[in-house]
Amino acid sequence: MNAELLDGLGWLLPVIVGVPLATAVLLLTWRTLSDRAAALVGAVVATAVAVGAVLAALAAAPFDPAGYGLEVDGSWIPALGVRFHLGLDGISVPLVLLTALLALLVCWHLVRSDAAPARRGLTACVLAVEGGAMGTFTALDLILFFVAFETVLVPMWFVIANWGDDTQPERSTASGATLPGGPEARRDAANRFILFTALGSAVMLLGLLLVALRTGTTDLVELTERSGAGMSTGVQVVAAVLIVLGLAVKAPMWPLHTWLPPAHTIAPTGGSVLLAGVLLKMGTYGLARLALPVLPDGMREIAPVLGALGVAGILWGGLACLAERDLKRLVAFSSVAHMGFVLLGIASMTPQGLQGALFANIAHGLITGVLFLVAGAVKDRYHTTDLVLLGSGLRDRLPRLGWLLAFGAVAGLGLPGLAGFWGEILAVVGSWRGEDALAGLARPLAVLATVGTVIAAAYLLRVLFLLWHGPRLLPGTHATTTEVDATGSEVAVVMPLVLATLALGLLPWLLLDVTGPAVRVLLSGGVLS
Amino acid sequence: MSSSAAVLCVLLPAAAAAFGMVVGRSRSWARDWAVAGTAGALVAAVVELVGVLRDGPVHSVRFLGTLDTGVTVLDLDLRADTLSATVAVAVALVAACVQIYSSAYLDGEGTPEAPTRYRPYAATVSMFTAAMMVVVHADDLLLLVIGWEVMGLSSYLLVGHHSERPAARAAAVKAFLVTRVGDLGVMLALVVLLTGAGTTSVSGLVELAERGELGGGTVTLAALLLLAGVAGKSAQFPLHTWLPDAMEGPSPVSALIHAATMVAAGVYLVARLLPVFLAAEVALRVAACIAAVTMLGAALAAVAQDDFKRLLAYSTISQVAYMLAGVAVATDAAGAGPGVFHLLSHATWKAMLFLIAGCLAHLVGGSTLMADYSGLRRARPWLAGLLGVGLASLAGIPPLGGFWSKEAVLSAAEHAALHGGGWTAWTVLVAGLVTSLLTGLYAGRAWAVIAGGDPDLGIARTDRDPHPDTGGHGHHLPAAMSVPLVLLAIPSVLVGLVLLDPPEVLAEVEISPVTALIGTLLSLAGIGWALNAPRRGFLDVADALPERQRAFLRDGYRLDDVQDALVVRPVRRLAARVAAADRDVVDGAVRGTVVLTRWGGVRLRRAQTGLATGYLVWVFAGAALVGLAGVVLS
Repeated sequence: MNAELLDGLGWLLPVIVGVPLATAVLLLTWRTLSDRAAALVGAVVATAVAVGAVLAALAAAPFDPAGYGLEVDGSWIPALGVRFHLGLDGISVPLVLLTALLALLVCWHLVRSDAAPARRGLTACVLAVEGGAMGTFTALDLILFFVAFETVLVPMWFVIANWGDDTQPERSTASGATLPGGPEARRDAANRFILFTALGSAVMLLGLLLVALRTGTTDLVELTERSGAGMSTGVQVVAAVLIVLGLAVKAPMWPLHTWLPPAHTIAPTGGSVLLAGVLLKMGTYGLARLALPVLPDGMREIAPVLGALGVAGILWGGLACLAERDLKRLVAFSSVAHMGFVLLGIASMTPQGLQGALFANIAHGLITGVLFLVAGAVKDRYHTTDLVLLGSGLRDRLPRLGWLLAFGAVAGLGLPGLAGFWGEILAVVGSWRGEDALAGLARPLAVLATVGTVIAAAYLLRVLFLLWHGPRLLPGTHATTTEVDATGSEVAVVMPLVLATLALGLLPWLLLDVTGPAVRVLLSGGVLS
Repeated sequence: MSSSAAVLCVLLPAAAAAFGMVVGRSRSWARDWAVAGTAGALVAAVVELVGVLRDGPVHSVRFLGTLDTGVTVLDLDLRADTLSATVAVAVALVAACVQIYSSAYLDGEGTPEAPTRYRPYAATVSMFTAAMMVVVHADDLLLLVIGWEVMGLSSYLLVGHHSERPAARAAAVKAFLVTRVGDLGVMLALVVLLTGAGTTSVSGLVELAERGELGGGTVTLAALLLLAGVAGKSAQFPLHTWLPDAMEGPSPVSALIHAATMVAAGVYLVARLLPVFLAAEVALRVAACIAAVTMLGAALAAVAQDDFKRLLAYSTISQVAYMLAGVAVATDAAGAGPGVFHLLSHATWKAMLFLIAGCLAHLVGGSTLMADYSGLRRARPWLAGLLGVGLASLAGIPPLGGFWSKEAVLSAAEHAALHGGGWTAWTVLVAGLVTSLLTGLYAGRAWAVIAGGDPDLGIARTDRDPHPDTGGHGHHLPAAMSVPLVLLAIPSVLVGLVLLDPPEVLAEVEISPVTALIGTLLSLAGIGWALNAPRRGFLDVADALPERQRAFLRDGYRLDDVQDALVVRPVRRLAARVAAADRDVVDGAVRGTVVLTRWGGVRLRRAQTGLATGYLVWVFAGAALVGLAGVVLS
């Protein structure tokens, strides 16, 4: 495309943030609009936003040398020196595109799912989440970042609390207590989600304010250039602990992850896809965008803990998956494991580690999207995701859905040649050579993280063993159901994710070339080396 | 010319996999793509071989682009040289034969309970071929690993092809997981090389190693880690346990993946990186020991097998160990020849033997027990003849292919033992010679049981009474199944002729007359022992073993139980503990905060009495405290 044509497209940034939010408000207030029409409006807007995001990405290119290819900077709250500063560089572009893609797919998915109740509200929530996420991924001001970060919470709470599954069975604990099922489980999941993340945000806000007060600015570009100058190591450590804690809840980092399995399990399919693909990424994006460049000394001090907790998540999540019976919960726990690689890569504070973390971020969004869409399709058919109750022989019963499940599982176990591999191996490389930050833990953590890849293979093959392989066996309770294989529209929604997983797996430079220059700058204190 | 041929070797089967699976619905469409893709790969491989023989090797053929890892930049390129070209020809030949054979072997649509699933099958075989071609041609280890793991995936899919059978799906998971454990080593080796050497390029690493510029620690660690992956993929002790179970896959798959190509990939990797391994002497010594243990142990286990495919599987483990030994006793960079030669020759006759096993199972309606095939010589003379060629080649009887390649390995071991190779070379030599005897014994035993005996008790019984499972055509072998046998029999017999004018990679292959004579006499003795059994009252020489020992050997020394007790069950227990702890401890703490907050709320609520006097007391107490603090702190 002609470079001049794309000049001066800075206005696209407020548009991709504002249009989804405005549409969400419109949909909520326009009470007479039918559900189907609302879903269609949502899908059209999401498509337009995706086009805008692609244009913005093209306009922001090339990403070498690093820098904000697209930027808007306006006055917002002059009294506090807070500015409406948005920008797009190599680190934000992949996430902006991922958000646009996932929101688009979720909206089209809603158009086709006629059974879902009150789709008008759900579509509005999805668009609000999209807008907030777009804002988070483009904000270049601490306060603006925080506001955008928070914007996502409330619509997501509604998605879980209103449209979540209220037919979960009760579960009992080893101590004899019973965890609730049904509507109470749904309320519990939604409240857990909001309480965990709101608490995290409060802690993060303290950290952000500390940084702002000590440096006198909230501008991320300036803070990145200063690279911690003006803050003593002690202040940096305190600020880093506060900010990392807040972001780690969202990532989620072990042991702050227990909101995630219920939220993912209970949220409707689209909600799970957005949770995994967009919300979790906001946490790790914040670590890469805020914590690392602004507080390098503080991060270096806490890096070993962050890395160790990341690896704990890899192993813990993987082992929990091995014993999990519910497909959606299993995918949720696998997110804990996968995000562990992202945290490890960030904690290594090396270019490879950070490249790996950013790659794994995107790969996880795509692959988990596939798995949740498949799990959702299974649930639509059999009203359960219990691996034991679902029967077996899916490859013979529903070949298309079966192959999509197999693809998701194989991608999830990090098969080289698919997107999941590159993030993992680069994070491990980063950890292995990250002795500056991780000290003596660097190599043990690298080895343990690699062990996590075998566990991933074990639990995903277990899913295929139980569900995909095996004799044709219908779920016991629905033995008479006529089975319908994945419909054209279901396949159409998953296919972009499958193709992107394949493309990034075979041609990893598609993403690495975008993030590479920016990563080098981030780690060298905002100066081109 | 050879560079585009190398790319086509990968792309043609890859395209065949994609088109056969995604486009079109009909069976014939899938078959045409499958056969055309692998046949195209065969043509490309031959062109590549001609090209490299004429114009020399080509490094860095652009393939998947350049990778910016943040510090180092890696090129995911291919290469073409005599090593890659010869192995590529063998891979493509076996793959093409297997695709033709499978179109008849997996005939019809099957039943709803046990569908044939031909379309995904053919596409997966094509995908496997493409992946193996990537491994063979990769000039970067990261690219090689892509092929390496996609091969593993294909193996998983094909072992579990008859996934309605519990044994097949369990074997598939086992095959993937055991090799994946070995691949931990490969992953970490990549990490070590990227950190220590700054590159994963094969050319780059070989160059660094030859100039002695690879750090001692880096190279030793990386070589040992790679060896773990080699042991997993090539089914060497102690990671060999998956291969006998993998025989649950259809026989043509066993021929292609679990005999001719994938299991040899580990040896190929060592041959490819031989200069790196030569710089890490410890790793080569470890490899030699693994090979010696594996070749003997597996050959001994093969003697006790009753199932023909499992016998062939143990034989494969043992023969791959010969290849590994041939590479491990190398003393210079050109020393990979004997191992690679054995790889090539083994690929032809072992693939043929597995395809014969498929024919036999087809003839008797599915059974893989050797006893069910008895009397083959009288019932099917030409099939028995081909079986004889395969078994004789396996035993190393001159002038068949197996003789030349096995004696080349033993001669290399002898050369190393006499020229400073140390005790590992002697170990390999002795183990190799003893294994010769055992190989002769089990090959002879297979011949005695299958070819000899009474046809009415074995093969001919089902001729008269076709098994219902095979749709009533159990007694007929279609041309698509018999022609590939002949196509593979020709190179099995003639592969020794390569030594008349060897390509560069085989240039150093020598046959030492003394060792060759001893080796051949030992295998003849083994064969004689087995064939002589009827005179001593047994048809089957293994009947001479006491039942307990025989069962122990048949079960592969019960290593599965060891693996189960040491790894599988502890991990399961740990997983259950973690799941419980996540719910009761980690989340218990979270739920605990709820209880704590409520409790605190109730307690603090009691302070809100609504009595003004009560509040006044608090105000005064507070004032007193502030006053006290002011006095103390000032």
